[in-house]
Amino acid sequence: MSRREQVPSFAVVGRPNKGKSSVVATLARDDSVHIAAAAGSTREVRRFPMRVDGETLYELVDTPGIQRARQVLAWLREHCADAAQRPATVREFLRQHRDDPQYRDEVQALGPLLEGAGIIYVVDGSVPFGADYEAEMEILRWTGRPSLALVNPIESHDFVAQWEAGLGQYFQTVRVFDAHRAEYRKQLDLLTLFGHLDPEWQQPLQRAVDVLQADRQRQHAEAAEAIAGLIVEGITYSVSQSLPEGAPAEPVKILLFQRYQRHLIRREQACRDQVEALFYYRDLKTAEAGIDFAEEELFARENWYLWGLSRRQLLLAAGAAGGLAGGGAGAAIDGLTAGLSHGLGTVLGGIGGAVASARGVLRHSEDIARWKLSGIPSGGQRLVFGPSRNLNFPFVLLGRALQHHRLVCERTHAVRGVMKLDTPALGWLDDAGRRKLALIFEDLRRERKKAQRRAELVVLVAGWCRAVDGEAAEG
Amino acid sequence: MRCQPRRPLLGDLLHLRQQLAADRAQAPETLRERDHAIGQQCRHSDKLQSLLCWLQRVRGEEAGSIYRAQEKHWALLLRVLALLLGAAGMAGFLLASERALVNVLLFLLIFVVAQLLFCLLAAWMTVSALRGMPGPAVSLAPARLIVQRVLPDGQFQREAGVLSRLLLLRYGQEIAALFALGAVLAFLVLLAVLDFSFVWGSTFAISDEVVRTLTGALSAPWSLVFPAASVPPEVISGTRFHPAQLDLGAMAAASRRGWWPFLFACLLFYTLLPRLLLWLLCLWGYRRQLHASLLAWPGVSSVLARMRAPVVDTRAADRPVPPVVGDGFAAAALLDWAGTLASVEPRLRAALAGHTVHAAGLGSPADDVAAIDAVNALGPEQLLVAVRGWEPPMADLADVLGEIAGVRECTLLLAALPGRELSDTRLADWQRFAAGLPFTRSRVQLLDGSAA
Repeated sequence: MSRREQVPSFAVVGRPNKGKSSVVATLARDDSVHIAAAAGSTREVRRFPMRVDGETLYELVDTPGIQRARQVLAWLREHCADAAQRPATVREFLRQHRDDPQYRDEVQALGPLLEGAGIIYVVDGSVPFGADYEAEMEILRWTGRPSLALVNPIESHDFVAQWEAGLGQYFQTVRVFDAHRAEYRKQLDLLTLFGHLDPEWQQPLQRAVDVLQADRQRQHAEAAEAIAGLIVEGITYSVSQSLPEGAPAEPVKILLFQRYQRHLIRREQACRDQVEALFYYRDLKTAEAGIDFAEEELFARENWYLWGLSRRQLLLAAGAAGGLAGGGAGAAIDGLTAGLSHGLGTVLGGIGGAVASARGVLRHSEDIARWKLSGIPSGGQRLVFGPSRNLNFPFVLLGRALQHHRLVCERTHAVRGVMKLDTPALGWLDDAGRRKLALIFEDLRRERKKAQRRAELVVLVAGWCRAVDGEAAEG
Repeated sequence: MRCQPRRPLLGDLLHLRQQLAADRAQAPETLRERDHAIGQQCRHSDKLQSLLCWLQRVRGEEAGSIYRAQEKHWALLLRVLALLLGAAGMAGFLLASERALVNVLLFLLIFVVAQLLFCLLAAWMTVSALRGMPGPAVSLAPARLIVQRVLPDGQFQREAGVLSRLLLLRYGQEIAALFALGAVLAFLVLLAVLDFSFVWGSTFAISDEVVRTLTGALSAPWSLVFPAASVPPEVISGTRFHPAQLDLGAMAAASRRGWWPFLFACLLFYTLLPRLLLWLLCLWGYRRQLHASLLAWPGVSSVLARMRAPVVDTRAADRPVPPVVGDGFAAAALLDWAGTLASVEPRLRAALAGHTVHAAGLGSPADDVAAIDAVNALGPEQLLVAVRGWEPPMADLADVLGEIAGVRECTLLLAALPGRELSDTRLADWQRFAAGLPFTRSRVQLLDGSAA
């Protein structure tokens, strides 16, 4: 394979337990990478090709930690006559120790470098630089491969400066990269930087970054669709059951309410699963701690003001939306009277709409939905629960879904900890946004301009989803 | 195989809804691969055609055609019925009149004014539907028969509310237009074969002037183009009628027949034409809404995005190999490893001053060998090994300890960074490491004297 045809490859090397697998998991967006607190959990080389329609643009290689650097270096020095022979000497070391169990990890770690991979050397910035690291850095220098050092501050940044100074003597480029907290943009910046290690790698790496950016946009757009779908269903869903003549309604009401709750809880979970899968989390639930979302919390109304809006915010938003709708109707009356009403219709309509909406907030604040009992022609009655009339309920669904989306987006694939939904979800939403949402929810509830309102909701949610990556929200 | 561009059908929307519901159970990766593969084959610049192509590929059949057959069948039946009912209605009205006398005012009220009012109502409903507003349900509308047969799923009718209403209105206007056409044709045919007299009269005191104004206003739109379809004042005066009037001789026969061009034009202009216009409006609105519904259906934008976006995969193709933690420490270990004592507080260093210190782990392997030889030469029963507790245990150290002979007990003294505690994780690493050492007894202790 000619040099031009060779896929850029990057071997992530370093000592055991310095976060090599975390760096790989984050950049490869693969939560199946085994990341253990215990040292030496990676014992085999594992390759992570970045494929676009089957074409590999680059490859990350996770390697076992180098454990016997000084012995290896001593062997290399002993068998090398001059600096020009160094890469060949490393190759000779690998050839001679291919089946030696003592140097199994070293052979595995150095192998990909001699196949043409670039070096991504990873150290822990929360522990001090030590002279004993110099042996492994020297070995890496002997391979003659383009290299980059990453300081991964696993617990703190206390020794980052020390590392930067130390690594600067061996590596042309040194970067701090927190594999557990790196924002998406920083991940892309790092990939771009990989491309600068070799001029031949620049174009495929830039293409990879462009593809990943487009992929991220698609993920946000699909997540917004899923979230909007959940909210529309939350607003419009109802359950019903026919009641024979004279049968008591109470037991059926309990069953119907449970069915209503169960459906929406499952629907919310399905939406979360979809969002997680969109962002390539396949083992999130089975990870050590998983997601700490109690399903029942969706209907725990005492927490609603955490996920949705406070009573005051709700009153203002619903009042403004109602006022707007009422004002619009009043303006139509003013138009019909050719202005003879002197704008009185608009004013009265606005006030009436605002009062009616505010009354709706207060009236339905304790109910999720209303019960309806209607006669059926074949005899008996039909008991219906829903759709929801509670003005906060869609805000609660939205708040929880956006919070979940944000946590999934901000989480890197190296994190194995608990994901907690414990901060006010819509605290960042401004008055204009609340009013707009209240209007959309009201129209969806009344099935007015449903498709248009749904599309508007998707646009709004997509903007907020993208804003997680620091991009300006639209709408 | 390239999909040919075609007009969307209602059945496409039904199939699309079913397919998207089924897709919810699929993994996003599977959908991405499937839709992108279809997208590579369906390269239409038009989104709708791309979607229709996708639907055809996914469903593996001519989506929507089965619904179309059903729709056609019911629509044909209702069209014929509407035509017959229109004709029957007009015939009934004309033939039921006594002495073949037709009251023009009653004719206008039933076949023009009432029809026009229905048209206005339908226009309001159509405009509401086109604006996406929920309209009143007309449960007695005959077009419901088609809508209920074509869209048997009530849930779908709610989800596609505007489209269902426009479908209802579209067939409703078509049926009404055919009803009007039937009435117009019956009017012409009966007039040609039977001798009717058109008169006017009312229990209200309506003067000739009022009727003249009324007919003048009604015929205004065509009076300049077709003046023959207007009612001359002498015809109006000559056809005034009272039920008590038994002798019609005073009324000229020409005058009695003079009304028909006007009535015919009224039927065409105020009954048939508005319905045709409304039908065309509904047809246009329905097609536009079907187009919009297909593209705006929840999940469609994701399908189109997946068709366009390349399949990106950055993850390992293989599943991870279960790690074997703690193996590889088949040897044993010792002393001031990698300059540990230089990094600890002086008081701790002083506490160890009574021991003979050997350095290893920092220089060349030959230095390690010298340290091993020195320890072996001493032959101590207990060996203390100062190590940097914040670093993970390395096989390098295990190698050195493995060459120490004659030691029964080995204690690993873990140094911590000044002002920091060792993490439980790291401690566990060292404990596991110690357990793997080949001494009779191995333990781990913090350098400050506390037990680990």
